[in-house]
Amino acid sequence: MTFQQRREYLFIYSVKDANPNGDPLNANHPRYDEETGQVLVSDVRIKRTVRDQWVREGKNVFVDGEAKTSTKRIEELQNILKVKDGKAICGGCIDTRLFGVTYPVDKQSFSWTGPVQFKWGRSLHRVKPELIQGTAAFATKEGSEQRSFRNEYLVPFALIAVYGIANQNAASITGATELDLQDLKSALWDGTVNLITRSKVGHMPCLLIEIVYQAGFQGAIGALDEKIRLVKAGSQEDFSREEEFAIRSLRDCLLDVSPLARRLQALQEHIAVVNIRKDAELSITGELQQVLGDKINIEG
Amino acid sequence: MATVFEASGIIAMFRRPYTTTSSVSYPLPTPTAVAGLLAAIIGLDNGSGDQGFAANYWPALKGTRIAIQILAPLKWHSATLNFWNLKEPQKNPHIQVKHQFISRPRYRFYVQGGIEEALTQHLSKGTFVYTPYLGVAYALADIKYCGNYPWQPLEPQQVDVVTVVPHTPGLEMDILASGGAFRERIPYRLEQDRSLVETLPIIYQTDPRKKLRLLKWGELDVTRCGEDIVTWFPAW
Repeated sequence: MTFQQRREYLFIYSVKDANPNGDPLNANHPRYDEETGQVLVSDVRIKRTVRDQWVREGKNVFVDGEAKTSTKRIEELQNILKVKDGKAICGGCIDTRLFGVTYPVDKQSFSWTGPVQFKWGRSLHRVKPELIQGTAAFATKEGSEQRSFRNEYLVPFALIAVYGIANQNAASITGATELDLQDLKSALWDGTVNLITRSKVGHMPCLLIEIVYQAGFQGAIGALDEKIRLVKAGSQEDFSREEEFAIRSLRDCLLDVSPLARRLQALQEHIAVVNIRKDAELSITGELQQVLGDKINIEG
Repeated sequence: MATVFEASGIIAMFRRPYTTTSSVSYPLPTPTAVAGLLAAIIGLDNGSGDQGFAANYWPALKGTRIAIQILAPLKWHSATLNFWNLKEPQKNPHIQVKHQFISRPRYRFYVQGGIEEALTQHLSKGTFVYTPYLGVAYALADIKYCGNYPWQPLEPQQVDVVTVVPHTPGLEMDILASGGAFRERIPYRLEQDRSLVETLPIIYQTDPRKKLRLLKWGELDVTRCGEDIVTWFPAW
């Protein structure tokens, strides 16, 4: 049975001395909003983190991250799942059930908009990407006395917020289940911990809030990532522009969730439970507990 | 009455269909994109689960007319996305596709007739059936219901309008008084298989503080809606 209750997600993770998401045609410079000074992370990067974790766990994933044609991948899945039909193949893969798919086979093409949609993630503060240079492992030519240099970008620190929604009505088309959503949550957290490639080591999950609405509710708060803000750890005052650039750890800041709490209060009667998983180092202020009472469930 | 609501987001991509190697957005949501947005809110399934190109909601939108107002200054954000190279993955597993998004968009939509009642039922309760977005699934839209407003026809006279103006025969504008204007041809109506039925030329402002001054309207439908004067696209 497909999941029946709408969800909204707020996922926050920290990035230290790493590149959250490089722009491939901009020398892999971190995706960046020049106007606001925020670093950006595409929805595809977030879904890659999740998919890679599912692959580690042995789940069937349509976009498995290997360099192969779609024809080859479809053949592989036909053998694994023992089905031929495109919808059965996509119904057998957790990523297509949750994130949707455009099935790329001529005359059999179909398209599912996934029940789970993520916005691009954004840092909660201004960030200054830095260009780091190092020595390459090998010389470029035989007989060279010196090795060449490599350049790469990283951010000293960024706290990135990602908003997502899970829509039960779209799930009835793709077949996404309650269990799939459990797997999504654990893969967001564990997949971020397991980002250990050279450019990604230094990613750590900090907070995952899942708002589970009552069955039948068709609304949402929307843009949870814009209903929180970072303030100074001690005084709870706003950071100045320069101070935002200088944030280097969770100990420097406090996450104020008051605007989110007010929206939760307005929709309280429609909320079944709010599941929260939090890293011990992240401090939160706001009236979540008072607003939600026994509807809060702290997950380990 | 006309139903009025706003949609905003961090980015939007109303892709020009003729952009192939890069994805470039129209500067505003086309009526065809608004059709999809309305269908999502009230829960008209597009049928693409059976056929990739299906847009089954078009017959249900018959008789609905819309007006579009740009509320945030037009700004662009360019980024490159890594797509899977499905043709020659051994050569290079990714291809890089440039995208030109609209940055921090905000629009107001006026809807009258057709599906208006079903739309009001959802908007007034803050609900939607399928998740609304601004052109692409990752450009999630925040929807704000503004209310239902009476609309009254106006006597032909000089007016300053807040909405995008369909360029219809007999239209005369004061461009200088409008502070400049842009012209574009945008898709207006599709078939259920997403084949293009009709495009319309439009005049628009990229700065929401400026209004377009119309001297003669010709065949254009101009009404007062609440406090604003709006120009309607023809009913679908």
